[in-house]
Amino acid sequence: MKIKNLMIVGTATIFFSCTETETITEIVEVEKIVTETVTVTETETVTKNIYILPEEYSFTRNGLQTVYYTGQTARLKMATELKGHMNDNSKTKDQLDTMFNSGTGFTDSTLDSSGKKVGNKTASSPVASATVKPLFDGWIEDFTSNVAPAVSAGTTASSGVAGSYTDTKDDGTTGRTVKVNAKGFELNQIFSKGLIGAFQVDQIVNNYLSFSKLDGAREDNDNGVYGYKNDQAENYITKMEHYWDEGFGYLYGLDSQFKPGLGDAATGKDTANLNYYLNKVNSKEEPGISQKIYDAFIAGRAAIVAKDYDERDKQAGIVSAEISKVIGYKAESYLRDGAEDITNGMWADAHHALSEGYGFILGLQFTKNSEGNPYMTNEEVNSMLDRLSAGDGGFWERTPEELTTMADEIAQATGL
Amino acid sequence: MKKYITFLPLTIVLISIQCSSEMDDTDNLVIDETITTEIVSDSNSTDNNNNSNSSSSDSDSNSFNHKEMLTNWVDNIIIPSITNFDNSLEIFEESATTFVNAPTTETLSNLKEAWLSSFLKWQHVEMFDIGLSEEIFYKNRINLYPTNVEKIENNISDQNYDLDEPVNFSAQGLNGIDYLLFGIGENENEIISKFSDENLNYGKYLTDLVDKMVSLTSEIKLSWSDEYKSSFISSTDNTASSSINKVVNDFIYYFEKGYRANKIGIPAGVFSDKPLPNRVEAYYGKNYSKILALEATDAVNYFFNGNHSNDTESKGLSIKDYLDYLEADKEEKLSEKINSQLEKIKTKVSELNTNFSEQVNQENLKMLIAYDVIQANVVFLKVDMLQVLNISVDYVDADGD
Repeated sequence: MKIKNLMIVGTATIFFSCTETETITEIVEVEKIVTETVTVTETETVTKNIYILPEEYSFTRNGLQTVYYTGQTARLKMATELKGHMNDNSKTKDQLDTMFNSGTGFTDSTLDSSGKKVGNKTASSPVASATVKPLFDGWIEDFTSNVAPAVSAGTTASSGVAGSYTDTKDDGTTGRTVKVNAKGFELNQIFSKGLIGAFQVDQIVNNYLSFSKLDGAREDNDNGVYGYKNDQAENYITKMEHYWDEGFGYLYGLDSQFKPGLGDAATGKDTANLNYYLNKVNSKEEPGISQKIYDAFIAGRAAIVAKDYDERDKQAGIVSAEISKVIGYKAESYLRDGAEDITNGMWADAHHALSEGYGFILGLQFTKNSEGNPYMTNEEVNSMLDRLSAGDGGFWERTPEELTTMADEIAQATGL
Repeated sequence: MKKYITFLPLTIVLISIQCSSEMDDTDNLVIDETITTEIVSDSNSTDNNNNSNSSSSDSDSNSFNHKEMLTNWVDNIIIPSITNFDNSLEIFEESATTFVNAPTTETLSNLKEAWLSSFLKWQHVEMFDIGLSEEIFYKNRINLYPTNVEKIENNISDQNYDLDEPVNFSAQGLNGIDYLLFGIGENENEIISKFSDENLNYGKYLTDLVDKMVSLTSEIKLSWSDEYKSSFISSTDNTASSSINKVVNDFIYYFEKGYRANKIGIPAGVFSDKPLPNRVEAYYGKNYSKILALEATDAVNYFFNGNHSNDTESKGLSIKDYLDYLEADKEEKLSEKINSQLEKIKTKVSELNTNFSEQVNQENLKMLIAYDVIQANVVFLKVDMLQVLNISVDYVDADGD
């Protein structure tokens, strides 16, 4: 390792010296300038050689695929199921709590034996605030003890009153129905959108693709020490490779490993989580973002195999900044949608949009912009969420003007 | 990718040849000098674990004096802290004897005072889990919690126990005594009456626990012999087993586990589905968890900044100085970030209820916020600081994939 360093330093120094020579001798001898040009060309060839990248996120060792992320797939399936169950009046607190925190009791019984949980990966990165996870437990409690009983009793929701609420459209037909708490929170939306930030983005950006996590496995990666084996008998995957793959899995776990975007209906695809919303951003706000993220995942993974850690960190920075945009765009756009719904008097639509917005705003603290900072700190997020849900009636008391102001503030913070 | 690796040295050779062939002797000399300087300054980079932190150049006035820092740690912090704890245990032992011989409100009150005094002194010792301390699990013998009440009661009623057996680690130490002094009865009278009945053997168990702490601590104190001390101080290089590396790792480990997790995180439920108010330090005494945590905050602060244990106004070389030396040309010093975060921690912990258990039950959010400010410093210490010091973490967290 030391030798390698020395050589790189040596090269750099000679380069500077060469350039210096060039300046000094330029006037005297033309020949030297020609030699310089040759040297520079050689270096460029080297640089290009590093990035012969596969087109697909696929890496092998001795013919065996080294990429796997079954744990992430299981957790994303759990998150998807929880979104449904958090809107089901018949579910008890104990049932939801068991699914979230113990990782059992799911409809898809294969999940129970996965040994994975969503709860212990929620806002669990080293930089995440410990105050966030209890919010999710609180929403389970709120839904099962306040919303579900009110809905079962047929209570119509209104400002300060939990229950269900149905919009009536201009033509007299019924619109959306939401089950909301006293403040108009549609809890499964808050829970699910909250997880996109606090669980998926936090795990990718602040855990698996973070410098400290990856670089902690540097020595093993340098020396070809393997730490993971997937379903093989012997370890053949380095820790650093696997950490990166796990980061990848937190985005693509329900979709295809071999292409960006959503998977095929036949093989299953994300219908509720980060990749689903990334796909929306890709088709509206920022075409090409999905490919950009996918390519950065490939380049970073190839850099790990090549032991090029500066490149790895550069690609991790791209993935993090691009993924964060999904949270940024959606936090803003759902507030604007909510403002429009309120203007139109469609309260069920408004509660739905504002609940999604609430969840995405929560996620702003787990993001990392291109400078490596979150769009908003935990404190800033909390203060915005307080404003969004202020008053006994919460969302019911918001005006379109207030929501537009908040959306503008988010746009200001994200720079999007 | 293979192509690139083999190609790189080739290019270097190529460049070197071309350059040197073009240059006269004077230029070559200049290059040599530049390379030498580059290597020296590069040695603090993060990518090798074998750097120039070794003290081969201690005599050089420009380099950091590792030996002096180690000497400060041992002579002014570690040994005095152990000695203070040891001395306090002597008083504790006397009070325990007095109490057991004549259990009254007054002797009990004196005993509680002595117990608290030792508990506070202990906060300055726990982080130095090195040498014999590490071998005999000293910190688990003195401050493991939650204490195992069932085990204690069984030991007392069966009268058949070996405190050196690991199964009994959770039935002894300062938290075991916490239970004996505050938890064996509904109120003080009940507790005194239990101690008054010799057949119940509470007094005997108390004496055994105190004696065990005394004997373990004197062993630890003796282990810092002149010989051990001098080998410790001369181990100035940076390998996994060197003194600086081990102590820094112990310090961070303590900050992350003993301090952050045990005192705040676990009771606040950060590592579980729900808060666990019965997991606080000195749970049965009720009003001591905060004062102990604050003392530990000071201990962390003092060690980081090199303040002497017996005269905190005086300072010697410390991690802070070492960081500042390595970051001499940085405007925003990591040591300042760490110290200002320690201040924030102190503020947040001070705002908590004297009884953390009550804090968790009444308003756990404040515990979680205190946890957040501590955790922020874990990141500074474990990631940023270790990078600057070029030390690897010698303990790993479990990776759930």
